[in-house]
Amino acid sequence: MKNTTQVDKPAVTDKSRRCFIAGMTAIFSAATAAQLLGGNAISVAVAYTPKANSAKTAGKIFRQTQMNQLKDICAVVIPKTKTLGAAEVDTHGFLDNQLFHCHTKDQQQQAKSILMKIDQVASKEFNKPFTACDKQQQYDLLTSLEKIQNGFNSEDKQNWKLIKGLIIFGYYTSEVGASQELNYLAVPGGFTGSVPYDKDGKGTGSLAYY
Amino acid sequence: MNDDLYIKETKQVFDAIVVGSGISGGWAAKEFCERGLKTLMIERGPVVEHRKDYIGEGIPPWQQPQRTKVNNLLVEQQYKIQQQCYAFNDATKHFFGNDRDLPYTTAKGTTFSWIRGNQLGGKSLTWHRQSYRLSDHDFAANSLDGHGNDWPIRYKDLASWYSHVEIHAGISGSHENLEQLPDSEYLPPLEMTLPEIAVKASIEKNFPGRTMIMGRTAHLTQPTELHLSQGRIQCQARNECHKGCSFGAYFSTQSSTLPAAAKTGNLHVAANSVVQSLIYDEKTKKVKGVRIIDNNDLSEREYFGKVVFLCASTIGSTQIMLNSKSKSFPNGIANSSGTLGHYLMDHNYNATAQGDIPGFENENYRGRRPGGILIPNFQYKPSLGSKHYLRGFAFSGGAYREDWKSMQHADGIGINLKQKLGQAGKWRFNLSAQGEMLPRFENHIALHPTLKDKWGMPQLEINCRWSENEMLMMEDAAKVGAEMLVKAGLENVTSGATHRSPGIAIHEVGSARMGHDAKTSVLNKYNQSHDVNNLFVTDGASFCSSAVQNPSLTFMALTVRAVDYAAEQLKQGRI
Repeated sequence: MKNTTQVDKPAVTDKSRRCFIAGMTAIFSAATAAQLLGGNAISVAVAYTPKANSAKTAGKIFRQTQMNQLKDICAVVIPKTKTLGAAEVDTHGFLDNQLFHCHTKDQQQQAKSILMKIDQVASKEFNKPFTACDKQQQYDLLTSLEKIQNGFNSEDKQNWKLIKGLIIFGYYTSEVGASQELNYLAVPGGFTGSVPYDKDGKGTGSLAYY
Repeated sequence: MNDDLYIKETKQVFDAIVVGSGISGGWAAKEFCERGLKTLMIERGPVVEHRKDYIGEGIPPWQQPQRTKVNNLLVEQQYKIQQQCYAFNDATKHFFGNDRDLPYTTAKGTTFSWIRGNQLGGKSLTWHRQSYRLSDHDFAANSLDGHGNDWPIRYKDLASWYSHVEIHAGISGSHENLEQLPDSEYLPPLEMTLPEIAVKASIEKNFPGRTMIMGRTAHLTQPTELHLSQGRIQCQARNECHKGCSFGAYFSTQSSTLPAAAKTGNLHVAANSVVQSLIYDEKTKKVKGVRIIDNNDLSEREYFGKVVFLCASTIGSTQIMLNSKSKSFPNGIANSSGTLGHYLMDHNYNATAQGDIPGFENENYRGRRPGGILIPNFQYKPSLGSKHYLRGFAFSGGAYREDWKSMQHADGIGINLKQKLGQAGKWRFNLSAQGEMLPRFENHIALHPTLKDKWGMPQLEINCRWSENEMLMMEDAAKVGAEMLVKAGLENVTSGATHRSPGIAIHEVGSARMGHDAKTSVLNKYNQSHDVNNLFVTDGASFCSSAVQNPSLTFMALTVRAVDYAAEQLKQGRI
């Protein structure tokens, strides 16, 4: 696990960097400063911990088959590239947990009904459930959902937006999404109003405060 | 620091009792202590120790139970009102009052969002740190259009006290020489981005009399020796301030005034002490102390002092006064005028304008800036005002590049989506209006005739609504904001007025106003009660008008000025 208490290199001039370190040292040792940033009271134990087998068991609101379907959906929405994708970091498990703790019964129902609808359309189009479709079929199916085609209606798209928004939120707030796919700056070291944009790098830093 | 900083039972008669530990209370305690006066700071909530108790700080999202979101049931049952605040999340929720324990009612047909911070440090931990002086245009506004009473002070009365607090607190900003927004004692300003500089140039060229400046914030952009000696260092641009800042990089009671007060050895703090009422002595015609209900076990106790400063927040201070009934003051202490509880105000945050900034694709910024730009009020005197409504408004806002969060609901799936979300998106610019609210007698708070809270305090009934003046102003602000953005070349500009409740700006002021005339005001020009000369109220309750500026810096300046006066009066034996 990345040491999140580490002070990232501030992109400031050498002079102010030295001042910063001098200032820090004047008050407390660097080690102490790092400890201060660690936080302690929001227990890691109660945070949702990614599991390898979420798709193989029933969740808090989804049945096992739905968890499996959700895993496949995660893999299509944010696939594995140079970094892991949404399915590999158990975004489906996160989503089940998040819907249970932070969303209304109505929203939970919205999520369930869009999973059902996706399976219905898969059966009609390909004569098999979504999870039995190949990657291209899954991609085409979800694309038609976004375009409100193939029997998907605008209510389906609303329900889909809830799920897709949560997949994106779950992925980019995961450790991989926030600190590998994006550039996690716990302590930027100061604000610089103008820097060149690096298209090839991780141009956008992940937010620590949402 | 004295070993017995925190106390519970004591027979000691303090020189000064300060009720509240937020922005105003912290300053009152520091100033009394530094003058050698034995001071008791009373806080209704628990102790929050600097650094140690910033329990949400520095925890990455993936280690938070619901990735920063708060449990649904908890919100529903305990934070239904507090969650309306932008700063409320899972890592800050312990710095917000619990709505279940802190009930209040609102008059039929009205709503009011009362955001609370009941802990040592109060809302100084969670404030947005915007720091602006009032000008003579603000102090004169009531007298010029006849709404509300005349402020009994002018800018010259506060100027040196503003300087006094700014040097200690650390305020970043740029010298602008604006007559409606006097300059402060500054640390360097936060930096603007290039698109902001472009929008600024356009506004100043196309709209004479308007300007766009960097917002002035209580952040150490470049700490002085004084700040370093307080144990504070430079702002690291995390923009997670509301969780508490172990760097002490923004002003709070914990980072700035409390350590200074404690260092003198003259400070005691009574936490978990809910002030039920003030004890009035009919013979001496003075307040001799305060009655306390223990926050935890509901037991009762009393504290005694020679002078009492109410710094318990605008509504909190007024609630205590309304509940302090005696033979001489059957309707609340210091209320011979009958104005206590009346002329409650907030700022009106009910108009926005936003749009896309074309270009600047190769331009970015680094770090998370803890503040934005400001377009100061350009209708600051009647001759510059609108024909359709009185007073004016400012805009805050700024430019940013869209990120995965703002693009969360865009269409697309697969590798293309992942690539897009990994990059910075287009530049956006937003403006949010903050408008002045007229002081009106009808907007008031009163004790509920029957309902009480768990401490036995009568609940408050708040009766506050926007008048037509405020609504017309917001309609205009939405239009004016959009005009400036369109002129600056922005695309897809949208704007509109919203209808959020008063209170949600968390700039509530008034309800125990100052004034020259004891028949129409509660406090004199030194924030001293007209009726009870050893009682002072120095928080927002004392305001005569809301002005447009964020009020906290003025709470500080009024407080230190009042302490200076009260300490001298004590010394002379006049109170």
